[in-house]
Amino acid sequence: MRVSKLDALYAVMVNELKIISREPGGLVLLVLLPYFIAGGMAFIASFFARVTVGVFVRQFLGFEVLMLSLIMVQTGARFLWEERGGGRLEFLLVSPTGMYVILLGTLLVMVLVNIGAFTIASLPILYLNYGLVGMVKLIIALLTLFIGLLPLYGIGLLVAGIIMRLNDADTVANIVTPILTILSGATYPIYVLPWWIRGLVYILPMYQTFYSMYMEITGNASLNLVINLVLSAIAYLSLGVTTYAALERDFRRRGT
Amino acid sequence: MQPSREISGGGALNELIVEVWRGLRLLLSRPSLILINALTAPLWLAFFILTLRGFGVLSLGRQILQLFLWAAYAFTLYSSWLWGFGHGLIQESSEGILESLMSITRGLLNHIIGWGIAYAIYSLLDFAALIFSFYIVFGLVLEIRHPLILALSIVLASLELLLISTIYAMLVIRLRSSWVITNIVQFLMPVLGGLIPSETNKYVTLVNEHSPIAYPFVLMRESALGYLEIPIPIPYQLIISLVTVLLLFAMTALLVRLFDRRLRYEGKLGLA
Repeated sequence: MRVSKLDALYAVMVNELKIISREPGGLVLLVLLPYFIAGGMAFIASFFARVTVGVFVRQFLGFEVLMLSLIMVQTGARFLWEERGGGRLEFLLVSPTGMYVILLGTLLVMVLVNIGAFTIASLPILYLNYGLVGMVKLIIALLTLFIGLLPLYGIGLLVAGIIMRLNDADTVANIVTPILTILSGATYPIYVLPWWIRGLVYILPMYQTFYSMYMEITGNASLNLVINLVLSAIAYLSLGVTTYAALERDFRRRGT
Repeated sequence: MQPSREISGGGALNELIVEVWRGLRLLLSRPSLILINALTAPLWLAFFILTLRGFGVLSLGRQILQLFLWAAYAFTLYSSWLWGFGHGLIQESSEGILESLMSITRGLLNHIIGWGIAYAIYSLLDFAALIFSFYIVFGLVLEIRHPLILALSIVLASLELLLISTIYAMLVIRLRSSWVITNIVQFLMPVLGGLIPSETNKYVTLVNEHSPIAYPFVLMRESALGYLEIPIPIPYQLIISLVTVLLLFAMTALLVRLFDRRLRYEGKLGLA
């Protein structure tokens, strides 16, 4: 029986969704954690400064974007490593479905799950602050989030290359996570940074995603920001795919 | 599984030493990870401070930074004991190590205490990483007014967390997504456990005064900074901390016995 690429993609996505739904607690955590982190930080900050609702909404969005970004990078970075550890990578490489379809399927599912979590988590805050208009703006912001999460998977695939070469996922993750966190620029004013670090913040997609979404929600949407984000998605996904292609060549030549 | 063997004093001590040594070797088996954690700690601190800036906090005095250091240490302790130690026990159970240990040692309590002592020694590295981070980011030099009381408070806090993490691990060990609960508990428990300095709010003072698990953490700040946070003399605070640890120990010993018996005779993991 011949299976079309679309059918295969659908099957991969359903399979991935089933794997994720095995841990419903993890999905609940995705919704609750931003409240704990943003709420905790607001609590600490409130002893030194007046934290207005507007500031809290901005910071909440920033934490959400940061958290989901890190999840996307981790997904891309750890997928090949975990498949190899579980002895499934060899099967995937010889599967007629093709690894690119599998990677695309996992990418799309993670993006959709993250967008779902973001929607549930931010709905109450945005509704209380902006009313029904905020809901409409949220839809536009979700589209931006969709575009913004794609390049992060590309970065994850780049990191996967390093993990496979060094053969140590934890060490690499422990280096990459704090660096990406501080370079996210999503929870603080980036003008306080030295110019060269600010440059790195602009190059990475987290700040662009956060700032575009924040501008859209506050009614100051900018097409330029979205275009930058689309270009960023193309660039990082291309880099990620190129890295993966090199890795796959290596796997096939020398074994995983 | 075979019933537990009788415990004799000398043999139990030897076993405890073996457990401590085993734990230390395990914890120090990946020096690259330890080094990276120490080197990336200043990045996390810088991110925290930058985020406060995002909330509108423009400057922080030296005294506030000293308080932040102790609050950061308290959070690190809570978080790392719950994750590293508590989940370490859960992982041992899922990998079948607990059953093997039970068949060759005199009891789980010995294993838990030994592994806990090793973890307490290891967690001093987190403290060192924090001191290093505050120095790198702010040029802050740690102030300690009463080193002996500080050392005592760190020991008491570690013992308290060892026992709390053990009880917690035994309660959630059967849950498939225990990590989700730990993620939430690691934020809630420190609030009740003395993480927030009392001078921030009168309600915080009330919590710190009435929560027995808060005392070692309050004592840490008081001994380092040299002033009383709650209106109770230091010796009394030490006694309350010690009694809390002893009560927790009695509770843990009882629950571990129950846990051990259920696993040994019924093959069931956990207390629930």
